[in-house]
Amino acid sequence: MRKFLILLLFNPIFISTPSLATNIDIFDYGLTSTRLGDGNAIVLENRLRMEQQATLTGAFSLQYKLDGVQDMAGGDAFAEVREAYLAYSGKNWEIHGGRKIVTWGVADLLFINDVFPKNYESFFAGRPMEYLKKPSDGIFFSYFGKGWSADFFSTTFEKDVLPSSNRFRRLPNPFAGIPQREKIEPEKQELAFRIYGTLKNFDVSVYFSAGYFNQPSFQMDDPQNPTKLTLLFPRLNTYGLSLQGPARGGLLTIEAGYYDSTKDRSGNNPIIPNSEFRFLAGYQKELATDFTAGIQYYAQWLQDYASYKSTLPPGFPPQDEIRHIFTFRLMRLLNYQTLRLSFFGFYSPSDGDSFHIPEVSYAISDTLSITLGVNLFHGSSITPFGALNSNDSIYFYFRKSL
Amino acid sequence: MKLIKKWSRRGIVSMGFLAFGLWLGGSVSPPTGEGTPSADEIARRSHLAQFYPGNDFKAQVVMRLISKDGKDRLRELTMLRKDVKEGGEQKYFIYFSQPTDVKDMTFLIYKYPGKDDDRWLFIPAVRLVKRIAASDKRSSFAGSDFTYEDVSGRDLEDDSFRLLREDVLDGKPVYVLESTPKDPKSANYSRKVSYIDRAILIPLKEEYSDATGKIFKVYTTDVIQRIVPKNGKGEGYWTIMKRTMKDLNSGHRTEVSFTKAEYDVGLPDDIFTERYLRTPPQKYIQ
Repeated sequence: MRKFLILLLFNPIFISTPSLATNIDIFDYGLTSTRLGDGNAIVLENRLRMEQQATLTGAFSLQYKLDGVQDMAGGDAFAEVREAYLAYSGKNWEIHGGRKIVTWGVADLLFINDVFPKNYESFFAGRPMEYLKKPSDGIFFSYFGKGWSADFFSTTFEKDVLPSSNRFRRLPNPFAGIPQREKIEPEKQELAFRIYGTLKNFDVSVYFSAGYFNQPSFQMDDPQNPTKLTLLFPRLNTYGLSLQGPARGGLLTIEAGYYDSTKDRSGNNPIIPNSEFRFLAGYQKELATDFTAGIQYYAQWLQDYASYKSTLPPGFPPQDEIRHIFTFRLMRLLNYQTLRLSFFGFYSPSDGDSFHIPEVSYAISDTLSITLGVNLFHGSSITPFGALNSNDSIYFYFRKSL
Repeated sequence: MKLIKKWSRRGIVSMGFLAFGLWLGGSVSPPTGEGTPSADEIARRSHLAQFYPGNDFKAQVVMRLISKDGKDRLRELTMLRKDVKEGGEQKYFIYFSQPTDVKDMTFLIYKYPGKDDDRWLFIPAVRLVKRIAASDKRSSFAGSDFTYEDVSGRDLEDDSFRLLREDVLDGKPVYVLESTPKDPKSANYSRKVSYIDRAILIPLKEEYSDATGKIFKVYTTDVIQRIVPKNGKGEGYWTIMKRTMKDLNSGHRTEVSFTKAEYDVGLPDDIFTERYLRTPPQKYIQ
């Protein structure tokens, strides 16, 4: 598949044939993120982005987004294909093949039914939001009906990128002493399915996926005296639904999902995560002209909690049966929407941790914009956000169209 | 008097009707379409002439946002509109093609008179369809001096209208119509005075005043053109090809030009759905 795509991309037909409707955009991203504690660079890179959309014939089109990355923090340079796919549009259906960024679900920066791969390292380091989404490789089929429509995606497994000690410091690592590592990644395709439509004024979606956990489970060869650590990605099915629509002058959001850990339905296997219910309710409203506020409540309810606790290896801090998270978003647009002040905060009363992102962004001209923000983590190092508490950072990036 | 003469030429039958009218009311009350309509009627007809001509509409739009010191920013977009009901519900599809930081961003708006719009936004970078809380129609449209309400029209029921006088503006006979928001909080002005071309019912100029009575924003129609629908039927619709909104406080202004405008294109209903929000319909946005 990859070879095929690269052939397509660099085939001069797509670039030079005059009859094609095509347009190319090139822009430059300069990104820095500096740790507040020691002044070291978490991210220092330049991304030269080229995007092209080309209509090949009436129904066929090609699209790609390519980043030429110069990573000055890691001393590396490489090309990253963010997207590259061929699309065919039928009367009431479309099929896309290749690499694509896929997003669905209605929650804001929390994901329930969006099981597609994420790059959390990017997010916590302060790269632009688009890099939180990692692309998926596969076939993407969509059907568009009169009332209800459906998506059916078949993709290869892609794991999440989690913060690593390459960029972040003092990350808890309970397996530091184990010399050997092995990673077993699933080879089968993942399936994701969604039906969506409108009821009254509400957008309604029903979701199903059959795939794998995107974050690893850890297996030790001998729990008493481990010499080898194996990273596994257990099977996962998800079932869910979402609703979004107007309520009292604002927007109400509901999303729920059941994470069915099919290899450990009883919850007795300490290596495989237990099943979970995930639920989110949110409300956002424009409080004044160009000033929007949003609040979300999210709960993650671990099933078979008694089995989980009794089989947890000694020395591991147990997670709560129900993890609660609140998020707050404020956004103010000023000066003809050229100046954007925003704040996003995660706060978990059950974990006692938080993550706050105040940000200001300014469009200097149509071709140049700059963004400055801060990532602030708080909490004990055994909690999800608290684990990054030595990695508060200030980030800055510009985007210049060439 | 002119009216009576005109009618008298139509002969005995008309004269009979006129006499009946005189006898009933003691004065000439002209049939609909003649004489001076009421303020509400002018507002209604002008609303239809501005926001509802044709069954559907397609325009290539260039917006120039110009600051006091002359610095300008450009927005290029395609606007598609389809009327569900004349004078009632409408659907809008707005696709941005320039500049690159908003390129491929698409808005879908279902406009309902008397209640909040449904609005969706497609953010291309993360391929996210986002629903927007749309209670405030006074928000600026894409950072311009125009609000959402200016783009798709303010509900007639939200204002009280008064015909101040009939006048002449730049050689054209106009109705001078005053609009006052019934709920002061529903608009960012306290009073609007519109100079509406009597012949074609398009406002040529509008002045927005604040609570102190000071004019702070002025709208002008700069170029009008009659556009014959694609199917060639009818005389065509008068269309504002260029308009300007100027903020007198900040000195900022926005010029909106249609580089291309077409009526009755035959836009299919499914253009106004999530499919085309995610993948803009090439056929209609070129």
